[in-house]
Amino acid sequence: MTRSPLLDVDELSVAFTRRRRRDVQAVDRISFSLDEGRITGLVGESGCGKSVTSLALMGLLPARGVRVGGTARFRLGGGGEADLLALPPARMRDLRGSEIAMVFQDPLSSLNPVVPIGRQVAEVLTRHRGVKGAAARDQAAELLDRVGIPDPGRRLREYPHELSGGMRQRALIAMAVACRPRLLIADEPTTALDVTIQAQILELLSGLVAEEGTALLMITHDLGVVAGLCDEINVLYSGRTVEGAERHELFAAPTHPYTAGLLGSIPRLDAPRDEPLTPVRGTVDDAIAWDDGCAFAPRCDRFADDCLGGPPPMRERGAGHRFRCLHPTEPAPGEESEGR
Amino acid sequence: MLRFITRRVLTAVPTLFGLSVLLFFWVRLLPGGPEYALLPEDASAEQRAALRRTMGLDDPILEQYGRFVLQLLQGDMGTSLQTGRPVLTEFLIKFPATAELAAMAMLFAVAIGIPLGYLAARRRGGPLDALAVGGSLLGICTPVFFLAFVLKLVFAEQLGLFPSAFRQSPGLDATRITGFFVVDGIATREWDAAADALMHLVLPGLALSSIPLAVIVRMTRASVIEVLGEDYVRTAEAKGLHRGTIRTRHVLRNAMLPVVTAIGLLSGSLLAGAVLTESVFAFGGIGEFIYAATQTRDYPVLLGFILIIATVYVLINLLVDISYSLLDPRVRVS
Repeated sequence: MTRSPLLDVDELSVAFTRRRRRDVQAVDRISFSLDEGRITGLVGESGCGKSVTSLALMGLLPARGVRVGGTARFRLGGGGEADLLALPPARMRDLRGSEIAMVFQDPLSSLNPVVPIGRQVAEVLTRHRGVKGAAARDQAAELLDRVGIPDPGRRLREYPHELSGGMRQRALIAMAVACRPRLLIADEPTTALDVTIQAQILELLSGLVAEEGTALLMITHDLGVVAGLCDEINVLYSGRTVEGAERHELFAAPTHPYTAGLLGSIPRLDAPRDEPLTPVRGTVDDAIAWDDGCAFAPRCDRFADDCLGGPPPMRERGAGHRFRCLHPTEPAPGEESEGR
Repeated sequence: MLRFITRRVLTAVPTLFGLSVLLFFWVRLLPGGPEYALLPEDASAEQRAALRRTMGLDDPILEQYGRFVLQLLQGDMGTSLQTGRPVLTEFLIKFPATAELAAMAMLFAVAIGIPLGYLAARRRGGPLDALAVGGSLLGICTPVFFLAFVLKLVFAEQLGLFPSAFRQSPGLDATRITGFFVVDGIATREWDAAADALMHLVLPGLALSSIPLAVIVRMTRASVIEVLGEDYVRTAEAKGLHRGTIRTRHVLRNAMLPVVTAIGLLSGSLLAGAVLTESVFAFGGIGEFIYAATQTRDYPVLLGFILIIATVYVLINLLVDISYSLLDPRVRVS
């Protein structure tokens, strides 16, 4: 008997309702699952619904003007299961910070400017573990040390503006992992940092996952980030999954033209010097509604007339490799290559 | 911190000096002079001219200003032309009434304004928000003396809940130490005297608080709405913190920063703006005295009182700056 995954997201939908106007379907029936010790990437351009997905799982979407559908079954630490999308707010508040935690994008604005770093770390421990005073301070110092902040005793008393960008992100990570959550969501954790620091932060995150057996959901627009990090990757476009596979499979055989386009636009050190990068044409704003056909069609090089005949179905291609395209760049087993 | 305070005090000196120059010449722009107020109406022109000469008012104006500054540096603010008592003595008699009134008004404004502003922001668009926003508009627009009259009429004269005038019930025998009646009552443990003085402060305090209350409600509301949208509040939510912790440590501590600055600015206007309320409730503070001094061209009183009020104002704002730097580490000077 196989154990159920730590988090099983099934047909998650999020729509923002607007007065007297059509709702905005930000996330449209996305399914994926997360497991202990594994890193799963959620990749897409801004506006594809990846951040909304993370906020929905955290229960941090605004209470009004949002309609959430689907289920997200989470295996609880004490045994049993809970649907994160249906839990009462008070129960969700108990889970947040203890079993499920999140690292945000912009470390400066995500830290309270008028509260010392140590206190911001310690308050999570106080809230979920009942640790107070000097004991909480000591544990906070240990956590800062663990995420690679030198001289943690001094840093505890400092304020966010006194830390460098990389230090701030490390402090945010310390807050997130303080109670050893079993699920960690990182929403573009390296976007605001410069490149050398980016690598360090990613290394820190993957190290924590390996040591603690945490499940990590890595949200990013940068396939280069997930390339070396994720075990499994889901590519989103305009609120839907267009392709999902194990990392090696995805990079070896990108099947959806959008995935192929994203990969083609990553600069590579081993490419010939004069070879130009191939960007994906257009912007996300060019998307059409999935009901009318493939949302990516207006930007797609492999566009054909049948792309506009309703939403393309999800298809399978080998073990766990799913894609949503009628004219894939890689042939599905048993199909002839269209080879253009 | 000490260096910060020293620097702030030193920068206040040129401000106060500039103010003294401005005031000195400004006051002299008032038509007429003290000779009209001090002498009976049927005094002759010669008598008036003689009085001006003896008071030194016909000397070159720069010489008069020099004399004023020299006196001031020796701690002498001159004597009142109306009462013949030293200006400083007069000030120390009148000031406690106004200060108590202003403090009471600010207490009302802060104690009501901050919670109301916070709730309005949290329930933005709801009935409480509409009430807070509409009420604060009304508070800013209603003339203070009109509000003072209405409060006095309804709550003092018709309902008899509060006294309608003075700082203390007539005939009450209370010990005086500082001139701050509430403080004196507490210090001497004459609780009934303290309570009596407090009751006398309620209506004028409420009347005077209308404008600062309205400003504080609006500023708190706007500031809380802004802070609620900040990323660090989302971080606090993501930590699963209790709502009370998020409210005080993460929302209010940040939202209070602009409000604290406003409180400093408003308290100055309370000291100088209490005159109408004071006269409605026969409170006898500095406002009434300054008004009388303007009528009689009591130059030393006008100059001295306004300069002291300005100094107090500078001190209050220094306190505000210090508390601001305690609240916001980003402006802290090491």
